[in-house]
Amino acid sequence: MLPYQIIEGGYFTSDSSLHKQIVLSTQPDFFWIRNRTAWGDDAAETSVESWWRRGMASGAAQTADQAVTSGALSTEAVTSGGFVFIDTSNPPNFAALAGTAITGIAGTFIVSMANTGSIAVGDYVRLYATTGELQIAGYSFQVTAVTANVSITLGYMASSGITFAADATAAQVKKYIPNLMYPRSAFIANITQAAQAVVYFTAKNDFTPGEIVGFRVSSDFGMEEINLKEVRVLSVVNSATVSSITIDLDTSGYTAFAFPTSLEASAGVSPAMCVPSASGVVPLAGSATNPQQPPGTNLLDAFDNRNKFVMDIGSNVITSAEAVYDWMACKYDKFQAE
Amino acid sequence: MTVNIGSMPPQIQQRYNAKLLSTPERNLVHMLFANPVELPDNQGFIDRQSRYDRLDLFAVPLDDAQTNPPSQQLNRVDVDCRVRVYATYIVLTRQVTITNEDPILNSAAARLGQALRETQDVLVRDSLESTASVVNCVGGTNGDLPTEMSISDVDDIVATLQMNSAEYITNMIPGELKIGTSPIGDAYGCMLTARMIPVLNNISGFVRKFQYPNVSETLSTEWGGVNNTRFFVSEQGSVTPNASLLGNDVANCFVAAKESYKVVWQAGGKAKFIYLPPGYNNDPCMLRHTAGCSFYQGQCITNDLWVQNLRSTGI
Repeated sequence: MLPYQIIEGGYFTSDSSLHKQIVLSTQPDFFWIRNRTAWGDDAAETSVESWWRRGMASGAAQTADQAVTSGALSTEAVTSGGFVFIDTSNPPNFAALAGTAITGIAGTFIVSMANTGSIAVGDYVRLYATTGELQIAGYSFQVTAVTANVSITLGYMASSGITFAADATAAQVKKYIPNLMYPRSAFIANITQAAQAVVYFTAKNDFTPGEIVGFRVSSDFGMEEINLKEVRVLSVVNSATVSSITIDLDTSGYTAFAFPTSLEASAGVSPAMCVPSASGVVPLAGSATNPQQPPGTNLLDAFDNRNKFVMDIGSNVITSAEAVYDWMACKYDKFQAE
Repeated sequence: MTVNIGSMPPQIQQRYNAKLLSTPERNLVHMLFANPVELPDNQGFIDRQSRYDRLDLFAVPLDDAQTNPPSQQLNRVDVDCRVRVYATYIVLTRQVTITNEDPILNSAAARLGQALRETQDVLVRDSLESTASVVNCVGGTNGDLPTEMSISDVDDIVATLQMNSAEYITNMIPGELKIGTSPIGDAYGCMLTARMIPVLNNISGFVRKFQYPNVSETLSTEWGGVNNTRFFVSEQGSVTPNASLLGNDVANCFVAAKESYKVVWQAGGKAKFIYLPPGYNNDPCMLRHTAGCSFYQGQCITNDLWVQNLRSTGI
């Protein structure tokens, strides 16, 4: 027999996203989860207990629903919003979904979609065939809000303050799972003109205070003065809707950052990017000139491989926010599929 | 009743040929131009290398009073690379190894070695894909963005690297008096997917490897070159699906200069084959062999100005 059966376990408290990713050491044959808070509380609870077994489809789950008062359990099978095992170094390929509009004029970057598929808050999507907004075709974004089968919001783009001259009238939206080599280069959504410029990104960024980053900004994006500059990161924001870094560079005299028009983009441009360059001394509380005392060496910016095995648990399994869920991952000593 | 070959028992009909068929092995191109670095044992797991920035030029002469000029600040940047551990193994029952006709443990070792090398290569590929600067091909004619790679795109990337003071990797292959050959200039190395072969062959002035004046210093993975770039293809070259304006797959073609990226190995953690005979791993009845391999590796760009991801469609 191999030396393990139950390979991992634990618990977590759910949040309002009704979505959780649990990092595992390997792919399990059986994954089990139970809502500890709701179990036996005499209240009705959908998916009070759920599991996935090897051989079941990705995204599926078998669940048990709890009845009010009696606590009687009834069975249910879901085909989506269940369990998806992901190897981030070799992720699954998702089919593109159609979008009918992207609100670029207002700068809210809401993508209208009759079918949002499995896209959830935090997921990465790549846009292409963005008729009317070809300047973001091929760009990657992180989703900050989803209204099922109505729209998704590209909130990091929206919070950058950038606007376009036109809305997109069609688009293809492809969900993808990024490789987690670290730190990753990032698409620039906007750069402010300021004594300490703020650089906004289209998704959460990997940069850390003290790190040296490089810029690739062609004249198509206006602020070409920043092209090839290598500057220190002073502070980082990675909130639910804002992804930005403040850098030790005075851009107040630079040309304003602006995306090329859709027509210009169709003629051929390269995206504005921020790339990891080198490590640096950690600054003192965002100071442009004063290093931390004693000098703090930034080890967080070391190039690294942060790929992992993940069990992605969807909203048909996690049905309550602020509930404690126990989980367990198992590996069979012997498996027979007949 | 007639006895013919159809009535012969299957054991008689079949002969096991001990000469094994080849296992497909992928071209390993992504570490070709990497600087190998050894991280000594017992000195942490993050390798730091440093580079001193250039000083400003000082073209203003001193005044007649011979006043000392202002001093300059010597600036250093550090590049950190974390080493991680990778391992895999297979389990074979003793019954298999004493029953099977071919030496299956030998094959296991070979396949583990192949998987190890291909994994090392993919790690470098993924690192380059995640961190390298992106330049779209725009000189092609397929109407996409990026377009298919053209000679102007190759020249632009060479110009970019030259403007960044990046050094060539290979020396010129001078012309010789051989019919149908063409000289190759000092060159940067480009690592790309084999799906790009038709695009490469269509690039104006592209010189296939067999057209080099001298092929003594080429690799089997090399497809050819044009102007100042030589191209090395692999089945596991980087491709981003549906990433172009029109939704086509995009080939990430990494053009590297000398000392642009590196691979770090830990001294005590170099590639290792690990065989454990029956009796280990909770195997009291000595029923199972295990064969495994492991390595410690980190990879990173050492100068982001010296390696570019030239993205192309047309694949």
